Formats: sequence, structure tokens, C-alpha cells
Amino acid sequence: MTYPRQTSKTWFMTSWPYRIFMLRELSGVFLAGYTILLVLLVANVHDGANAFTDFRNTLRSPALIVFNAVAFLFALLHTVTWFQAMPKVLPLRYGREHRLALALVGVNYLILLALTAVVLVIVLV
Amino acid sequence: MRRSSEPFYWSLFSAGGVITALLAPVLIIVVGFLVPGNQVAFHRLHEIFTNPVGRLVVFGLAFFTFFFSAHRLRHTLAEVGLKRFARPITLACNLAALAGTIWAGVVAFT
Repeated sequence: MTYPRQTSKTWFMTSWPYRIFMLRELSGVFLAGYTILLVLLVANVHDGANAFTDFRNTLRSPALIVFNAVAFLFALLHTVTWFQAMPKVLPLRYGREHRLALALVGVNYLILLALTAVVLVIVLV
Repeated sequence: MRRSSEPFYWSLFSAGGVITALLAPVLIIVVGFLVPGNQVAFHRLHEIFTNPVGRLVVFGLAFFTFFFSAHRLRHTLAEVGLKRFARPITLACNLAALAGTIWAGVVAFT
């Protein structure tokens, strides 16, 4: 006779690594939320300047500013944890493994900075 | 042995993970702060969103992000004790991601 292992429904509140894990898992919801705002922005820009101005005013509402601030923090958490997981997913089995893992994470941050700059230049300049 | 559909969804998930890790922070700054702060001109956005490459990027971002989110959400729900409902939850999450992707496609390409 075997018994299913009992886990409490709040197991993730018992320690900080578990809490961060759960926050990371929740990041998906906020990433989907900002993507919905992005698609709505595209729809309103396609509808013309007046629709865009209306949507810009909607984006100024305190609720959406707070949502976007929180979503930004969740996005950063996702970025950092995703980059950290990468050397574990890509098995690089050469000599100085630790250094290679660090280099891989470093390259990720360089690509992040480059793409961030590219997007800002396309949008602003 | 029945082949699992998990590798297929995982490959979508990991592609979405990379794309969102690299682009979500700056795009949230643009959509959430620079646009409402009146820093981005309408003409520029119109140029970007009517450009064929721009349309494809918007559609691709939505597709990968929605399936990434669906994957995380259904695993999160299983982790907090809803494992018994894994099948209907998976179906609901992936259908929602599919609906979001179709909506994004209609918006991006019309």
C-alpha cells in the first residue's frame, strides 16, 4: 500500500527560494498582461491618431501605471532567472565549466543591452 | 508508449522564455511609460506597426509570449495543488493562448 505524499497548498511560503520560485512562475501572467496592452496599442495605432490619443490617455490611468511598474519588476525577475538557468540547460562540458557558464550568462546580458538599445533607437530616434 | 505532447509545448515555452527575457523589459518601458509619457510620436508607431516586419514581430511576440505564459500558468496551478485537474487546465491555458494568438494575428495583419 502506498500513500500519496501530502503537500500543503502553501508549501511555497515556507522559504525564500520557494517564494522566489513562485514569483518567477507568476511572471508569465504579467508578461501576458503587457502583451495584451501591446496588441491593444497596435490596434489603436492602426485605427488612427484619435484612437491612439484615447488609448494613450487610458495608459495614463494610475491602475495601468501601477500594473506596468509591477510587470516590469516581474519581467526583470524572469530575465535574471532565465539567464541563470541557461548554463544548466545547455550542457557545456569542457574544462573550466564554471567560467564558461559565467561567460554564457554574460553574453546573454550583452544581447539584452544591445536589443534594448535597438528598440529604444527604433521607437525614439 | 503514447508519445507525449510535452516536448512540443516545451520548445514553444523555451523560445518564448528567451524572447520575453530579452525584449519584455524594454517593451514594458515603451508601452507602459514612454507612450503614456508622450515620448513616442504617433507617426513613428504607425510606421512601425504598418511595416511588414513590424507586423510580423508583433505577431511573433504575442504568439511566443502567450504560449510561454500558458505553460507557466498551468504548471503553477498544478504546483499549488490542482494537479488532479491538470488536463482541463492544460486545455484551457492552451486554448486561451491560441485565442490570444489569433486575436494578435488579426490585429497585426489588418
